[in-house]
Amino acid sequence: MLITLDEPGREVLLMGNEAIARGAIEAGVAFCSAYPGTPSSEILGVLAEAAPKLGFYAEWSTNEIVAMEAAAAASFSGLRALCAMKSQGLSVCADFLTTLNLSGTKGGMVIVVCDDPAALSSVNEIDTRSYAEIADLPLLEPATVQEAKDMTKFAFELSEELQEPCIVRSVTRISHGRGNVRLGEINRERRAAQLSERFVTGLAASAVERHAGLHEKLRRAAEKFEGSPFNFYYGDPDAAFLIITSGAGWLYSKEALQLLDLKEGFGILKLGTTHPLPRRFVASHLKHAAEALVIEETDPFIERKVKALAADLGLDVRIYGREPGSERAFADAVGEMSVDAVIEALRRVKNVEKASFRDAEYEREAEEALKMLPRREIAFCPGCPHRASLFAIKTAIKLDGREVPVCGDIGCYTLGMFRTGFYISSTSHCMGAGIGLASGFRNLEKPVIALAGDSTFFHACIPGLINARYNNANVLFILLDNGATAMTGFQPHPGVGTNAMGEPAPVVRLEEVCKGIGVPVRICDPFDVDAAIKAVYEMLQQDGARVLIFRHTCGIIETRRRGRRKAYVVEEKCIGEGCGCNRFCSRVFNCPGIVWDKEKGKARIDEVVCTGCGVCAKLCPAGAIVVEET
Amino acid sequence: MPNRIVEVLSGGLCTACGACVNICPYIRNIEDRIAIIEDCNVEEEGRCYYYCPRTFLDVDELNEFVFGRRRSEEDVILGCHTSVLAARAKSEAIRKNAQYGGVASALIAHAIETGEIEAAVLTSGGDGGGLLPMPIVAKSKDEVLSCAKTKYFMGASLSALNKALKDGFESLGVVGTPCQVQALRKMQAYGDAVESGGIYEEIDVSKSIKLVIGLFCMWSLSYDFLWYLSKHVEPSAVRKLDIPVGGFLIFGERFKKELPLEEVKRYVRRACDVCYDMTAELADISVGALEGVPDWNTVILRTERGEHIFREAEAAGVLEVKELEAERLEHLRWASLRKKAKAWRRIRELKAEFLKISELERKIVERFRLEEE
Repeated sequence: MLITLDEPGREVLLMGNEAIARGAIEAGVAFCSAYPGTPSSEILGVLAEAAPKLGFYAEWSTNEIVAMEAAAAASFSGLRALCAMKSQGLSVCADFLTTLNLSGTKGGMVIVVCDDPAALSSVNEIDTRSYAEIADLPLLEPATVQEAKDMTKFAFELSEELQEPCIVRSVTRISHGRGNVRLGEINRERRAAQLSERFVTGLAASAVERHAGLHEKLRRAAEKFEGSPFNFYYGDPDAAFLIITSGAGWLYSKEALQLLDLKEGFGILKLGTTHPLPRRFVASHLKHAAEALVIEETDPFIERKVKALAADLGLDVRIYGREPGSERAFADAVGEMSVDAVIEALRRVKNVEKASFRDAEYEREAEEALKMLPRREIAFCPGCPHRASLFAIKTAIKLDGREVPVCGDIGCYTLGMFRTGFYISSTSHCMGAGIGLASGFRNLEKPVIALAGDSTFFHACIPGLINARYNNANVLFILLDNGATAMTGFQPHPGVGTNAMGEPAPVVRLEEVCKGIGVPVRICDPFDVDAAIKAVYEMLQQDGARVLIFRHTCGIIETRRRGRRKAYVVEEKCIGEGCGCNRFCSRVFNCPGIVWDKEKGKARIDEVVCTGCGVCAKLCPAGAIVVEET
Repeated sequence: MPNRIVEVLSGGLCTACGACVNICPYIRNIEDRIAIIEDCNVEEEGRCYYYCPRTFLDVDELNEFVFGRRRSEEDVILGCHTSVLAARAKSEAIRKNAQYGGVASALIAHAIETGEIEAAVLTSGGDGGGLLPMPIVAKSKDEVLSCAKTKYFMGASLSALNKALKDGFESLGVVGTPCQVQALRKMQAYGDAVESGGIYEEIDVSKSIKLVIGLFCMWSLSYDFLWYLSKHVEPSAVRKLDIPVGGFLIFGERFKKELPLEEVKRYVRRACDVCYDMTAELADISVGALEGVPDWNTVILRTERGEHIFREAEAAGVLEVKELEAERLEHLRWASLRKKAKAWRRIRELKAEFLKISELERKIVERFRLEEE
């Protein structure tokens, strides 16, 4: 394991999230917690692996706010603690975060949040930096994998100095990028946990006074940031044109200037400590610029601060950014940055000719290569139990005839909104929103189905289910229990019997939780297609809040455990395009494990991807699909 | 899916006979509900269209197919037939378990035992006391007898026929309601109108159905009736339902209860309102109650095949037969014509176009309607 390598000074290739984990190890972290979420999941994944070896603690918590509270408790008892999450996770924590800042912390506490500009694997592209502003907490933005490590380590020191949590904000391209990292020393200091003071907010501690205290701490942080090595200047020392950037934007900007061969008159102000802004440092470079272009992801966060700073100081500098509605916006403040985006921005504001940096032959070949890529639609994996579950739900809704709405949720089954999920979901928002929404659709005067996976259920659905029960909502809550937090990479959760460090753990059973809430519960294997349809149909005829658990292990885990079963099509039986089938398996059920053999006019199993789950064999009207028993 | 099946379903005309279930993966059923779960995208009309008794029903064409002739004036009211009589199973054990005289059970069991058919598609009582229909393929006398007694609900039993055909059965008997008999005659008559390969190359519906026994039927109940019933008795405790003149009787192991027929009738499936056939006019043999005589059946023998099988069973001592009194026959004819007249009126009201009858037949039916009012 590279992140536990005890060779200070050695350079190793690490993923950004591994570098963050290494930074925590070098800081002597004692307690780590997280809820998985792309692009953050690897941080706790590798920390949990390292934990037994290095003698610290790591856990997958039930959700992000619990993770943050648990990490804060470790900090209160004097230990260094880290909690990691994806961008939306911080929204889950918002309530605690904005009181934790008032109580302060003791042992260094670092909150790592991995944002997902362009929402590559998220439901939004929310920018964490605004939370740093809301909570008046310092925030660091690594621009390289090396910085990801170094900043994390520094964040612990800063947190301990300020007695406040410190946020490290990464983005997908940093977290999932790889780069050389020069290792530092592993801190093996083990402090004894001790709770010797009170960490309170509210009546016993004036929020206003503490708020003022927070601002004082921010001023101290800003002072420290003025000399931080994470902020630096690159290029023509007296450049009239300045690129101000942070995070992934730093390397994009550098490469763009190199590609365009822009040296004289151009400089880059790279910022790593973006909240609070090191005002004197920034001002020292704004003073020699006539124009500044702000390259950042995703909100115009630095842009606003720099504009405010320029206004405060009365500087005459034209600042281009992405503020919606601004006359000097070069683009809208959405999506990711890239080298191309920086070049495009320079073209717009500086009239740089596009033809001068990339040859036409390259462009043409790239375009040709793009055509060679097969079109692939987003789809459930072969053998995925969700495909069978959603098929059963869709069928039961058709049989019921009332056009029952389905509220989706977050997990692999989010794909319920696409063809692979039979377009079943009418809503999809955040973790746990499905059951909450479903309990509010009462005026539709028909049953509503809510979906949630097992991990999502533990994470965010219990208050929603209690609400549905308490307020007697006509909700059929279908739990898609695949025994995994599958979408983020099979992290264990309270229902699976192991913890983050691989130790046996008590199992919290979905059905027991539901029964405890007082709702009727039925359990069914979605691969038993007819029984599954019947179960949904019958439960739709009931009233009040009720739970149906569709239980079948994730196809990937199941295949790893028992191997693939061989399946094949008996061509003489296959009806093909005729009445009685018309390619039901490949066209409607649409599992990637089945392909349509155009020449033969028959279905064919793609043995490379088929897991042999056998659901298509149950649906085939001709009994033409055979799964060999192993 | 260009076909009229969609209209049949959305228009509430579906009889839940089950003829369209298990012929493709796009149509599914549960209880008496049939639903298209996805468009099959087949451009031409398929089996569902040809099999469904409510897409089109050309009475003369089907009579030509089954009996080799169009209907004469004499045939209109009870359908083509050779004789109408009273009969019952000789076996007391069969009768004791039967709704009335046990003729259908006895005939099917006998046909299986003599090898006339390999198996029969029947409607068993399913779980929970035998009230709700569950289609089965019966291969033995015991299985046949387990299906005795009238189910007042539809359960898409012909789905089991479709499955049995795919499973390779080549000599089947079917006991069904009039709408189911219509459907399976359509299956036989138009089965080769649809071409498709694979497994269907081996199935010949017209040859595989060897005996069709139709049951008299006035209407069936929707599943909502269970909700009403449960307010009076525990549905799973019910062993038998019956409708003697003017009442609705519920029998349990130790109780008998009567419900007002008018209330029960509120739960009649709307698709029954347009049913023009009380006596299963396209069957080989039709079997029904003999009003006022609980352990006898009224039997209508229709085809040569029906006549042969019935007489053979009589000769083998399976059945006891007697003449039907003229008065009873007249009442049967009146009831049948009355149902036709009501259905015809409803069909006109709904502007439903599925039923095609001859001018002669229309006049007879419409005349009755006028007389009654």
